[in-house]
Amino acid sequence: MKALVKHRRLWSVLMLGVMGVFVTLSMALPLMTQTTFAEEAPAAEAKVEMGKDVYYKTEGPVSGAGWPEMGEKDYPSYNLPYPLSENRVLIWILAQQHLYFGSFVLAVPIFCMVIELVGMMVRDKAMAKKYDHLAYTFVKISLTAYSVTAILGGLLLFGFITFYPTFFAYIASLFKPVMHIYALLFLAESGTLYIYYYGWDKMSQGFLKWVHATMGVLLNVFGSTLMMLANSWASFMMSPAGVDEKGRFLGNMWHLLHTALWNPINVHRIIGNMVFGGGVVAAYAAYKFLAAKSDEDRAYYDWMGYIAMFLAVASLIPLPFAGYWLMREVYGYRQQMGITLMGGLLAWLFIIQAVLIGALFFATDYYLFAGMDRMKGAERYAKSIKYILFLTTAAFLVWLTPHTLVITPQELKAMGGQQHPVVGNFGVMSAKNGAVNTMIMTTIIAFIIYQRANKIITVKWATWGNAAIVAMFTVAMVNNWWLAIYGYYIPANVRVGLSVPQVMGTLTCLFVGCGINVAMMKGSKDLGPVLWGKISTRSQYALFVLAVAFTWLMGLMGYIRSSVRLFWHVMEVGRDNSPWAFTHTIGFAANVMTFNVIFFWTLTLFVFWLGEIGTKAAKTAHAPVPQPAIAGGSK
Amino acid sequence: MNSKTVVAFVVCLIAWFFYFQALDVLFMKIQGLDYFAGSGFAFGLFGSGG
Repeated sequence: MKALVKHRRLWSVLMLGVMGVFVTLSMALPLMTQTTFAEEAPAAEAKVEMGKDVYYKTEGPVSGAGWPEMGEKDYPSYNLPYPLSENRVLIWILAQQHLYFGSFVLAVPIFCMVIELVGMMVRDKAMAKKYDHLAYTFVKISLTAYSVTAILGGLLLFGFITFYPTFFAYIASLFKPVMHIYALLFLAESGTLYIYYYGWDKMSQGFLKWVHATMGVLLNVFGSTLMMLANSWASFMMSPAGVDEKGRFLGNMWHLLHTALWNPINVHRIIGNMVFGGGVVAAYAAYKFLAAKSDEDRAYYDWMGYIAMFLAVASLIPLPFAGYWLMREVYGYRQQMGITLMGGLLAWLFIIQAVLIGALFFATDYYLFAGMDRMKGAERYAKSIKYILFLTTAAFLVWLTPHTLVITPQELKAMGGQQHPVVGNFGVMSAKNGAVNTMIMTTIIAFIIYQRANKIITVKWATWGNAAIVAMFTVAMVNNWWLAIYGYYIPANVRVGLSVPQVMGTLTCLFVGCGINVAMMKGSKDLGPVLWGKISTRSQYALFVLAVAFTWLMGLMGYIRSSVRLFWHVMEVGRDNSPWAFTHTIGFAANVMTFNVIFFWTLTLFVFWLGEIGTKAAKTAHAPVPQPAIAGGSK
Repeated sequence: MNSKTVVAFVVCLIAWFFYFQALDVLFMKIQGLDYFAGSGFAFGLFGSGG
């Protein structure tokens, strides 16, 4: 043991080396598998039957069994009362719970890594310690959740094996090497996480701190790779590739992984996980804030809630763009799928999504404005709130307007058709793009105001800086609305392309607007310190709204993504022949989603409670740090 | 609001107008699409353009 302590630098480097080998292996193995097939192919060319890839349209040797035509016996179920008599409902609940916890434990290490690195970069030692402690608190919360994720993953696997044995055998036969790598990576991730957490104190200084931070990076590499491998199974079911029309593997592992929707789903999920993880941590901080007995604790958890919310919202802003990319790829892959999603069977679920996204923006803006109570001088900006609220509300109303309405024959006659002559115009994508970009821009304005709430700008170019920011938002907003209106008058294929300049305009506001604002705050005078903990109790409920809305959204969008396959297990390759191969009603789906949300939050409260026990034991080692300074560009 | 502020605002407004117009045209071009496909509507109000 003494030797271990004495040579801990050496051991740390060794450990990193082992982790590095795991990373290299995970990258190399899929390629090695591909090479093996490629080498085997020419030797047996004469005998081997060739097939044509359903997506890539390339020829390849048939290297596996085809899709098994399934009957009722392939769906063994318990004789449970409806709806649990449907295997898919049980799998739905297990998969959703696994995904919730999985998202959380994948996202939190990303935040830990960022916050730990920020702590290492900050020159002020007290601030560095505060950031370090915050990162430690984050990872502590996720530790118990990690075990719950693994347990739920095991349950989900057993669920697949017992409820869908034939289907699972087929998927396992295709993805065999990927599944083995997945298991190896899981091992590596667990090892890294435990070293990362338990080694926090031992590796807190000098070179070892850098080794620790590198462990944090590796942890995220493992986690993200794991997620991408699991995504390949879901994206294969939606947009199969690497197989022929009979579902037979054609020997190219990369084609199997790299389906049309794999990368859009990867990007969307990584960002979505970060939003969700930030939301859960913000809810944890709000819970601790409300339960805090001392001003010191209240200040700490207020600060923590702000940082978590900031990270969640920073990730939320690019999320609609990633979602838009995914939808474009869905349309590109199979137009009918896109129509089912956004203009057909599942379209009303997008209206629910719109309401939830609106709730997120309102909750964020409300929290930021409530947070201005902590700052002296914020009253100067109070009058601008009503304009921001007006714009957000107007955009929200356009955003949630459906294309067609559920109406009675009399109403239909009175309106002269399925579409309302005025409001109906807001039901199309052109209007929605304009609306969502408006909501994002108003949130950016709210954040800029928040950043400067307690400051007096002293830079010489303040007039020009302010003019540049105000003019930029004015022109960007008008340009965004112009593009939204212009979209009604041009062909559909050109209209779709208008979303890109709209996004670029919003991103300009985000980066240039915040950039100018931060530059303007250089040398600014403080009207007073940020009084952490001096925020209304109501604001903490806004954090709960954020977290619950994120949870609901994830469940909703996951259901939409999965049910768009309709009566296919594997789109256009493998039919779902189960007795329940139909799409549930929206009401039923909404009830299951809500059950999932409640169940997840019950389990999460249990995880928080367990964390609380741990906190009491470790309080001496990591006492809360009083009066932290503000993040996001100001002190 | 003094005259310096008004001048700064107007100058920035014009500069940003050209920036955002250039952005619109450029990112449509990158996608291989014609931003002016609806120019009948945009510049002459002649009708629906497309």
